Amino acid sequence: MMDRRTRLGGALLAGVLALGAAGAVAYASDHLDPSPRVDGAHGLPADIADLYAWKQGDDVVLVLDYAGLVQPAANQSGTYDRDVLYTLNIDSADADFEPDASIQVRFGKDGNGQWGVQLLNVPGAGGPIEGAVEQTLTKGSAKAFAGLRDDPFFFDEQGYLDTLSTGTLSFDSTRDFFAGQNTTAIVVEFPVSALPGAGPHRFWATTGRIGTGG
Amino acid sequence: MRNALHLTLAVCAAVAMAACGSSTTVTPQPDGGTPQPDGGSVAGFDFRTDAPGAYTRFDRVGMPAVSTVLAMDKDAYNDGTPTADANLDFAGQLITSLTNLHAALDDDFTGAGLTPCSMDPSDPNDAMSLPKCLAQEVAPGVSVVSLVVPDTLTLDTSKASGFPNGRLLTDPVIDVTLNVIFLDLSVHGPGTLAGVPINPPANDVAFLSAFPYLAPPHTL
Repeated sequence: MMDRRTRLGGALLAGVLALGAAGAVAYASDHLDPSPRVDGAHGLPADIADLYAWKQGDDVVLVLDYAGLVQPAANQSGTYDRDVLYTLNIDSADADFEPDASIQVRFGKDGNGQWGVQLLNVPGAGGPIEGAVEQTLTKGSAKAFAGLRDDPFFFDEQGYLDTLSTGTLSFDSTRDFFAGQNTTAIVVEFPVSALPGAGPHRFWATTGRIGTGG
Repeated sequence: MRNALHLTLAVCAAVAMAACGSSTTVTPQPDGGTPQPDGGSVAGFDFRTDAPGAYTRFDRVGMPAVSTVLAMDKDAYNDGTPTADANLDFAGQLITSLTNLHAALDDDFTGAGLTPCSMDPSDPNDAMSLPKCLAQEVAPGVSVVSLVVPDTLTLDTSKASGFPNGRLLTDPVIDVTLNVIFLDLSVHGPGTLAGVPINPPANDVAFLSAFPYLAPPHTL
């Protein structure tokens, strides 16, 4: 069994090396992609980590997390940036790959300097969802949350990086690079019946920063 | 190659349809107050009211790992759209990456007792005129190429959720992705590599059974 694992690991290593030669630092699933655009405080809030979508009872749940690879710290809060727009696109009606609904998510502070979140166009909400971060917000038949969470992704990224730097096979299925790390997540839940069409439903997420030049 | 793929995709490609969902709407307030345009805040927060067009694209994500692993021009890919994907603007990059990977790896998979799928353009799937790796089905009616082009996460709510039908927090998406793009699915099921596994099979902490599902943040 160990031989099998090692040989499989070797096969995957070769693939990773081939990709490295293609010029990309590949932080799966999408962390630090696009890497050339990520430059610390400016890039991190717009750097999507992962997108999830599933049916939960009679509802659909969408999760978009970003600003990953954050180690726990004292008095830590989520990553919020007034200048970034998060969009969750849904093509449900006609499979034309154009959004039939686009949930827009923005952050802003109140007069006391406390961060809030606004979600527009959430199916089933009947209007904007607004409120403090780190809380479950309910409007109509929809729920929303934005805040700091455990990074839900699991992958031996460290083994991949070690392998690239040392040339020695380092994959280890017992090592989770994302263990113990935090990310900021936007979670929305609303009835399947509120989706803009019968589906199958196609979801994709984008981020943008105000103004030009990324 | 390009033409063959285009023919396949043309079946499901776009018919003109107006985008919606991003325009300003007027929402009645629950307290019966004056209807207020979306944007701005009813709760005292200073949200930007700029239209989506005022923002410059930074990142785009649909399926996990596709842009990270297979796209070669990351900026162009992230600036793209599913419509551009369906127009095959990036298909050449994805096919080149995958073909190169197979050239490097197929011997290794074979050596591990596994059967890789074929990316040989002269060995197409008869029905789809695509290399077998792209034409093979992950589930009935769901080909590998349909999962990757366009780059969206697709969910059929009439079927059980679970990658690649949507994505659960618990899904081992990287092992499954490697499985379906490298192995012959007529020989090996899509869960073969996840069963080894290659990568960690689960998150480090348990997810919540109720909203918001993600585990609380780690603390010092």
